[in-house]
Amino acid sequence: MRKRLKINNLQAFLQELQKQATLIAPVKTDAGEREFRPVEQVADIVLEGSNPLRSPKEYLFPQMETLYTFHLQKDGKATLKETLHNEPQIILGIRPCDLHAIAYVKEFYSTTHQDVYVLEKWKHTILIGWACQNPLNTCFCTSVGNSPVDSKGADIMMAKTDSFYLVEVLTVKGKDLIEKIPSLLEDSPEADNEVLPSIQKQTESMIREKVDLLSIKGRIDSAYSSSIWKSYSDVCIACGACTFNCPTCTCFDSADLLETCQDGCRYRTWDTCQNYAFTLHASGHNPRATREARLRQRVMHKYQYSVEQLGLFSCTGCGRCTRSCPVNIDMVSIIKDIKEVVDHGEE
Amino acid sequence: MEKNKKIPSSTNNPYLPFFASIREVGQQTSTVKHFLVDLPKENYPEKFIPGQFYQLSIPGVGEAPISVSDYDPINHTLLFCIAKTGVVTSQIHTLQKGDYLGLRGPFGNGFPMDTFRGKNIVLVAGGIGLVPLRSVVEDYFRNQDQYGELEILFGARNSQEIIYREEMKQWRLKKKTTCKITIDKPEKGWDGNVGFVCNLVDKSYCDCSEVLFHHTSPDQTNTVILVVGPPVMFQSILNNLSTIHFPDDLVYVSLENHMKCGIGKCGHCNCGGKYVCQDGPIFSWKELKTLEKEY
Ligand SMILES: Cc1cc2nc3c(=O)[nH]c(=O)nc-3n(C[C@H](O)[C@H](O)[C@H](O)COP(=O)(O)OP(=O)(O)OC[C@H]3O[C@@H](n4cnc5c(N)ncnc54)[C@H](O)[C@@H]3O)c2cc1C
Ligand code: SF4
Ligand code: FES
Repeated sequence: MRKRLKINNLQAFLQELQKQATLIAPVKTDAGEREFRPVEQVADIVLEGSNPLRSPKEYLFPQMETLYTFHLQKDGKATLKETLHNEPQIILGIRPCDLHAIAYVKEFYSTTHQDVYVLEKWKHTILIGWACQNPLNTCFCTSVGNSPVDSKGADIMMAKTDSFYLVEVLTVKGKDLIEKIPSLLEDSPEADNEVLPSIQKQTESMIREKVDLLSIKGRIDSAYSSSIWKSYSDVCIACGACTFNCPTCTCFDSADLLETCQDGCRYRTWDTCQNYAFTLHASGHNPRATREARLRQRVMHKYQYSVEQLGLFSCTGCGRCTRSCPVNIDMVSIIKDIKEVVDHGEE
Repeated sequence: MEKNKKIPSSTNNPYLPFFASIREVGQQTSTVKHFLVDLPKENYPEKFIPGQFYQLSIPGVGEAPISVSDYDPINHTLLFCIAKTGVVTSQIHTLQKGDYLGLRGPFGNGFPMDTFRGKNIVLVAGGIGLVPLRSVVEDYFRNQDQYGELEILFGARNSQEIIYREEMKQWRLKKKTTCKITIDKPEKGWDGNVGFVCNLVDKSYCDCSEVLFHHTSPDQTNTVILVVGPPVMFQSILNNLSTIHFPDDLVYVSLENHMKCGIGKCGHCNCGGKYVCQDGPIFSWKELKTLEKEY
């Protein structure tokens, strides 16, 4: 189902969304940045502009999350209370790269021993995508086979034209939502078929570079022993910023917190494979003791290991790793080197 | 458990531990204790495979992955053997009979015991590596008529660090079973083997493996070798086995990567395309050769 939304009906449309569930969208922060946050007033929402530095991943997989609380009894046994959250939420303004990321995260956590925390939230979330017209010079979604208008993973996809917003309803969840919102939407004529392809053409022409990784998908491990890793890891300071801002990084640490002598919780937090202690064995042996091995792990996981596991690249080309790296390690430069080594071997 | 609208309860949450009471605690060495726990009825494992592990926890302290030494399918008890290495394991060491342990599991693939039927089983263990292999020993004795011979090759740093000492005396007396122990350095009062456990799989060593070298017609395809110990130890065993061209699909190794969740989600144990907690911790040598050396 495809509809049109008049430009001057946008605010009313957003207000209707806000009535249905917690609305999360890019809003301007005090620091002048845009961030995905629960919306207080729809007037704060800024849909246009570049993709926020932090992805909306945290609304499905929060940076810190309580898994259960416990109360210790005298005999040392504990009563547990699961802390699942399933309040309905709508996330609006998600670029195709982040839609892909959420689809990946959901897929990853759906494998054997399903992660009920992420999946419960996902079930109660409606994802509204936004065709991207503002790529940054760190963006490279086309290199990993994505496009700036791809709606994979969205319940509803929106795109802005000069005279209206296109609203494409893609799933049952999306349809249920739209049906609750009366009369703001109009029918979309045949000619609107051209909207997304034309945005795609326009945006793709603005993307700095395209490295064809699809042609070497599944063979990227042949760069495992290459010397390229060291040339990057020599400057890496293992701060982990790249992984914390990555919309597909799923690793976590978990620990217990005792709030009184009897009550506490078990929680998890995002963790990073760039940290030395991440893989440290109990014996003191460390299988990824060097920064070189850890940087290679981050890159190989995105382009090779997740392909082996789920058939998917777990890099969406959003460029956040490059944007956040304090020593300017550039992912496009890394994948160019990989492609060269895989295609032609080491010089 | 309390239920309300905002906090639904899921019966299928793999992160929630259940609690089992400790039936028996015993000191194995100065730093290793064993714990026998009674499983509550609703937590009997549907299936237990030797080589699998549980996540053991104490609320407020944390969790640690520990291999199962034995699951008794009649009394529904689990046996763990735990070395004191850090925060969680030290706290577990303070627990006594009647106390409770949090448990999640069983996790991991375990040894493919079905494929071992009719074959000789050689176990090679370094130190605490004997723990997961004991579950194989117990399975062997419960179903001995289905297997060939059993040989246990065990290396400890010194005679004080020999675990399952009493059990090994009993195992030795059983039919079709041999048991060889070695310690790293000579010691007063020790008249057994001295040197690393890899010697026992070296043909030129006088007291080397019976099954591998002393049988009148050793048939390699009729023997499986299970190796558990630190990476330096199993690498040297694998080197020795390659000199006798032992088939790599009949050798199994248990890996001990750092683990947090045990269910393929937290990423800590990730090694190439595998999650050691879920795709392992048991890998054949053949599989290991294709895996990135990050274990
Ligand atoms: C599959 C598997 C089976 C195991 N079976 C046994 C067993 O049967 N008996 C036994 O005594 N030990 C076993 N271990 C090792 C045991 O899990 C660690 O000794 C334990 O996690 C250390 O926890 P801690 O809190 O006491 O130590 P900590 O205070 O957390 O740390 C001590 C050291 O252990 C490392 N470490 C911390 N957490 C882990 C972790 N989750 N996994 C691995 N290393 C970690 C740390 O990097 C640190 O170097 C097993 C490990 C694995 C992966
Ligand atoms: S952000 Fe840059 S410096 Fe920090 S860990 Fe990542 S690559 Fe290394
Ligand atoms: S221990 Fe968490 S993924 Fe293996």
